[in-house]
Amino acid sequence: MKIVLPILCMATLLIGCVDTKQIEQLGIITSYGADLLEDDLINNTLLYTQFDPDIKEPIQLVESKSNSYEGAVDAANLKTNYKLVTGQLRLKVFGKELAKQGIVRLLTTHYRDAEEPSRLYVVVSDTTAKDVLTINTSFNLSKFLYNLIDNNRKLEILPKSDFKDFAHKYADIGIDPIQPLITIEKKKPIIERLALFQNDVFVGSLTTEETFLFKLVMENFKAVTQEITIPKQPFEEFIKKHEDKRDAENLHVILSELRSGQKITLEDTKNLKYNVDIKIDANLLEISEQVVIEDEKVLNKMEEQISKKINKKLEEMLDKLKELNVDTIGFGRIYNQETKHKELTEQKWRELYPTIDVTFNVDVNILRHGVFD
Amino acid sequence: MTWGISMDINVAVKPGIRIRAFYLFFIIANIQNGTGIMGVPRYIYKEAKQDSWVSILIAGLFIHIVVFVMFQILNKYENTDIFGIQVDLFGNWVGKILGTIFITYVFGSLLTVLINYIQVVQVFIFPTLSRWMITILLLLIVTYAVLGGLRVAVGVAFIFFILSIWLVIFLYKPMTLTDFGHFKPLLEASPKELLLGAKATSYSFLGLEILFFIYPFIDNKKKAQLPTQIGIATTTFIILLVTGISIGFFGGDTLEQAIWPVLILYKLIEYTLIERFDIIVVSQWMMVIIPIMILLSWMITYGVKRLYKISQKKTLFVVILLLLICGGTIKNQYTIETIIDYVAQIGFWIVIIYPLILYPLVLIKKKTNKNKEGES
Amino acid sequence: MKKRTNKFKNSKKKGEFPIVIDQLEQSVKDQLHDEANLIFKKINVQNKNILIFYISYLIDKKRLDDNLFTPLLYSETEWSTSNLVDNLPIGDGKQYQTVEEVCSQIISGSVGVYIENENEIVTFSILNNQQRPLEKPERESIVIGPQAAFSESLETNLNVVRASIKSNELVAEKFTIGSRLPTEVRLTYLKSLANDEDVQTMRQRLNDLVVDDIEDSSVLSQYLEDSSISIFPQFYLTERVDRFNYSISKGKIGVLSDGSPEGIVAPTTFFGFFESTEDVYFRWNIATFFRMLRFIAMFISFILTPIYVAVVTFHYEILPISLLETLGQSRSKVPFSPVLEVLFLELIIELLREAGARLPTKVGQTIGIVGGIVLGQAAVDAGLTSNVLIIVIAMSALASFTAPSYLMGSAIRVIRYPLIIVAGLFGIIGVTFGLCLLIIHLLKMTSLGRPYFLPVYPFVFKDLDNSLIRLPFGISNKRSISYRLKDDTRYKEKKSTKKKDIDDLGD
Repeated sequence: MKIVLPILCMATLLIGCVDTKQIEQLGIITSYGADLLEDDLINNTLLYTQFDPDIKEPIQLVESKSNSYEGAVDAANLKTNYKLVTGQLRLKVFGKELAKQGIVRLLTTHYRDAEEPSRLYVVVSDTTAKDVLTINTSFNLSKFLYNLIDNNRKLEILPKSDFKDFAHKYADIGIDPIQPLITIEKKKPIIERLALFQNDVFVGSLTTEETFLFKLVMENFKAVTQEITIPKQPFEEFIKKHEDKRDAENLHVILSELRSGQKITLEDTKNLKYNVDIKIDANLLEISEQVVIEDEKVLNKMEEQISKKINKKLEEMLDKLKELNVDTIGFGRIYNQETKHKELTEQKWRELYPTIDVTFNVDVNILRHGVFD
Repeated sequence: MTWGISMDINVAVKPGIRIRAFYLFFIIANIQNGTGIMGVPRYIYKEAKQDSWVSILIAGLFIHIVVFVMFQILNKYENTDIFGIQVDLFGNWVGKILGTIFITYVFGSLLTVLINYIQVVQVFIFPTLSRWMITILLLLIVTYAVLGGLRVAVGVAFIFFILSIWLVIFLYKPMTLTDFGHFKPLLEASPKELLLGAKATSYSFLGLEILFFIYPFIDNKKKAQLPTQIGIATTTFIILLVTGISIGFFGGDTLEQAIWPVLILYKLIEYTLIERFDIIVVSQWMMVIIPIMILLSWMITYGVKRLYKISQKKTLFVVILLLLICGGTIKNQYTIETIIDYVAQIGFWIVIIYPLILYPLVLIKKKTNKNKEGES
Repeated sequence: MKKRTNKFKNSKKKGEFPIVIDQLEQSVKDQLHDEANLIFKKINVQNKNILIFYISYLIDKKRLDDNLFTPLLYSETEWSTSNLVDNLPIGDGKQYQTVEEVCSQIISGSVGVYIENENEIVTFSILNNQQRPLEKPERESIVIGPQAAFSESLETNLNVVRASIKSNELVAEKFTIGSRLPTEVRLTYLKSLANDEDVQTMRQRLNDLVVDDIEDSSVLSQYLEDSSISIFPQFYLTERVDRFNYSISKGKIGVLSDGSPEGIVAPTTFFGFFESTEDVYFRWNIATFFRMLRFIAMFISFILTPIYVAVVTFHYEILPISLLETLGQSRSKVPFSPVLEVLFLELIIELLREAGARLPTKVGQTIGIVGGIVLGQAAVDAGLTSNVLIIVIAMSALASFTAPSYLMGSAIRVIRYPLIIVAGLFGIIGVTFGLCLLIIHLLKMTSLGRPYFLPVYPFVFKDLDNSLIRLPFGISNKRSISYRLKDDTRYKEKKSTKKKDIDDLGD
């Protein structure tokens, strides 16, 4: 025993140790952008952080050409004096053209390779990924983009749309992913719309307003503020004095502390009839006109109008989705879960999806109407 | 009584090295939840799909019965282990051969724990880490602990179990990400699929055989059954939890592709200071598998001592050397999975089915013995 | 010279008395190698020649005059050996028959009295013990509670122990250890409480101990410990009187040795080293908090730097990018690998600690400040270390000093080094490896044959009180049961109190 131990210790030291990854020698990739070139080649844009006492700006950019994501890093390694590592990757940006051809081949590594991070955001750029990642800013662009999505998600403005979500929706039959779409405005990246995917192919987008509706169907709101436009006509008699001279037809109502709940049920399996019940509780924060809310009737009327409006908008949105043949809401998955022994195939659902019949029942309930009557 | 010459059926154990019965809970819970648990959701899901939870409950119930039968067998004797029983039942030669098979199986089981963990470390943390080195590290700990005897082995199982319990607690985070839609439609699997799913859990329930080894060392044997059964229930619960979360999170195809779904679940956990939880979990997993390796190694050394009266130290060094060679040379993922598969299959028969066969034999033997005594 | 030795040999024979006074004087002188301060006084009282001899600096002269010479010279009675012992106003009179025995008494501060032609020599101990008074504890200081530390004198120490454990159950068995330079050692315990087996083990170890001399209690404890290979202390060495007494009163065994201001307490558990007597003086909830704090501190002190090494060398993925940026920027100027960087800085801290301990208090403080602030700042500026590491190292050093036992604190500081090295070799896997080995090592250890990791393993739920946590005194009415004391009830449990409602309206 007394001899064995030292021998083992010696052997341990002799075999040598693991490849080190000392942080000061690393170029830590934080954002990755991919654009399509001809011949299926991909133009990669990588933002990485490096620690060099002589260079003030820690964020560096490197470009490379390759066929895959792993290849991108290898190729880029030849252009930097740091060892590029991908463990801190938090954002993948895909150019519009590339996204239209499908993005999943550049993402598989994140669920196949245990070493790669799985916590990242996947976004589509309105133009090219390079445009987004080469914006000349004074701030840390990687961080900016990451926080842009992260904060808006926390503020309940964006739906769940990180990589995990993408991977799930991509893997499950009967539901399609939805990811943020980045546009450049005044040399700053902004989220204007959401990119709709059919499987992993970018096909269209939702506006911010539609995003709210989409979230209404998919997720529960906990506290959000939303402006809704309803016709002015039914409230004409309650308006004391017209303040809003610009818009003669519509009332702009701002709902705050909006809480919602939803339930999607498959009413009829054969005819694919769905029922979507949405319940909204909210406070009335502001109205563009001075509507006197004297009794419940006015309030009820208002609730009714809002419901109607939301209902209509939802139907419009669904029509749009049907037209694009993307089941972002996941009606197919519900169908799949409700029927036994009927394995739904991708193709079959694409055929069935445009024929589904969805009824939206929106129930708005205004809890408080603020300090004024 | 020819068999009695070379081996006593009952084991005399000094009071100083006895252990209290309640440690059995930790021993069982620890030895079962090590290697199998990392991948078990995938195997069950392959068979029973979204109804895996039913399979697990069936398996758990079955194991409870097996444990009950094991205790019945052991209680028929004064203070013995599997070797004594086999020699008593089948005579010296057959008994010893069976005992040797048992020990060989335990070694196989020990080997799977080692090579599986090495693979996990290589996949999750250090792809370039030398297999020899991590084998040496693990074996150093195992040797050091086994040299301390059963008291230390049990202590390690006890303390490391407590130190690793937080791993379960942190599953709450992936739990919040589960999608209950993945469990629908309910009860779709056929009974055959459910049973196959239940069988797929068997690798996770292995380790049970330690009861057959450790029984003579238990201080208050009358109280031994309860902690063991609670240990089994804990294992069932953990498998259920892990499988439930895995199905709820991954759903279908992704789960079938993931080799270690449980470790990937930990990848989802993120905190402000720790962004990659899986690295910490994989390193902490060492504390989960070390007690298993220690207990299994102890079982081998003890078994060989019982059968052939070879000193435990000698056996230990042989075992460690063999493990070192195997751990250093088995590289291929396919080979590893085949070995694990074989061990799981053999284990299913030796650990789970064998006691059920043994029990009637013991009953018959005891009855004939009584009759003989009555005649003479 | 030869003659003398012959004489000396003769005088060694049994029954060498009666003897002529001059001859006795000579043989005492021989025995004590002509000690210059050896004083012989011959007096003649009532026609008896009496020889009085002593070493002048060892004895209390006032007592010598008052209690020995005065009664001896002015006595009317005829002196004989027996009435010397009985009638002189000094206790502790002993009779001996050989010169050798007498001399060994003389050197420990006794006066020899021989009446010519008697068969025995009488010795009286009137030792003038030069000792420092009881002082405040320096090494284990606490804020509240008794402030007394043992001194170098065994008698004083026994005195203060007896003073606070006023019970005839307190046994102080005497041992003499050291074949060349014997030292008196006392084994103290409460007869009605301490486990006999433990007492017997300790007694056995003391009896079996064959060494030439022991310098101090700490040396003695190293001889007595179960495992001398281990880095961890297995007996608690305390200079605090209250801690020693507290342990004894809880059924533990104490060993005091002459000339050492520290008492040994055995058996001790690993967790016992994080117990301070202050925990007893504090309210239970605060005490529990502090005790937990100390455990956490211990954990931090040996895990923080290895984790830093592991993360910076291998696992950059773990940290959030913002923290990574700070770390990376401060690391970027450093020319060494993280392991060397950490070892370098740890070395500086250890040097500071060592220098601070060796230097006089006032200088020590200055060195601490100079080292801590100036050196640290300069090291960062010079790009030798990163500033994040300074914080990490300082924190772990600080944490290691929270251990109430200096020995344990040192042990923790030392085990950090192997951990740092394995962390540098294998990253976080190495850290877990080190921790596993450490825990198994602690599990294997024993203190006086009792498991070192009590009460966690073997697990004794009731003993978690007073080791890991502290419960209110009202609840903890039991003594530690894992030590198998003779009586494990401190007091009878209170009769179940009637549950009170929110407002008691009276009957």
